[in-house]
Amino acid sequence: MSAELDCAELERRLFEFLDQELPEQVCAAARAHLAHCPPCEGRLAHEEHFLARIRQWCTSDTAPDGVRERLLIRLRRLDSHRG
Amino acid sequence: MPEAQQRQQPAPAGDFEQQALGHLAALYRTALRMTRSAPDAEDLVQETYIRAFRFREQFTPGTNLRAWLFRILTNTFINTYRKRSAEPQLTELDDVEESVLYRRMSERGAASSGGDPERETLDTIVDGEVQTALEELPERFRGVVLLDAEGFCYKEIADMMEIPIGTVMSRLHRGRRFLQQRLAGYARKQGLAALRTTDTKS
Repeated sequence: MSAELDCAELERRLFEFLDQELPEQVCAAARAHLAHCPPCEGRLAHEEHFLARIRQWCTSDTAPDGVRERLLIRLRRLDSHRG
Repeated sequence: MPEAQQRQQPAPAGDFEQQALGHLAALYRTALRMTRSAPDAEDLVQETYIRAFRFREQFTPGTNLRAWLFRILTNTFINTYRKRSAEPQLTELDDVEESVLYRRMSERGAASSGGDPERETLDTIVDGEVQTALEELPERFRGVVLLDAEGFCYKEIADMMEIPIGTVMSRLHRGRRFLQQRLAGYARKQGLAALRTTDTKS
């Protein structure tokens, strides 16, 4: 049996909830609240969508040609200097 | 024993090197967004690998190599590139009331649709605007946002940046609010522009 969070507390810990960083008990309390609070549920869905967009943008690949090749050349040069 | 094996090797071809190089794309995209410059990003990544290979004995096999490499990247960035530019203060973030923006937008959007009003405005944002908003985000906030996007947990980010977990949380929180504000601003401008276009057509 876990106590329920109120709207203000959920609001305060929304990112922790979405980041899966809440202790299990608090997480269960948050879920219990969300199950019957449509405004908080809507707010959560919105933040989730926003985070997904930001994360997607941050992790889209951008490596131009030659980055790997130039890196390998530099590493090999370093290695042969040392040997 | 490991010393004897490592000596006399002409090229980085071992397991460690191969595995480390497998993370190049992720390290580079993060470096690019941290430095906001392709040449700087390439330097930063090269420096990261040079250090990683030099200090490979400090890596414990079986632990998270990706996190270890990102830690070197972050440290290198903080110690070299960051010093170049004075950091602007994020004063406007200090005043942001948590959910004010969302409420304001909900009220505005409630009449027009039954869905999530801010999601609709967010969907009108193009990637270029997300990029601009992220570039405008002061660096210590951008760092945590980028590392979070790469899938690291608060504890890992705290270790990488050598800051307390509470600081990671507050920077993430404020950084995200800043981005939301900026993106909502762009969306608002677009919304107004769209309205004007409709007006002139009718």
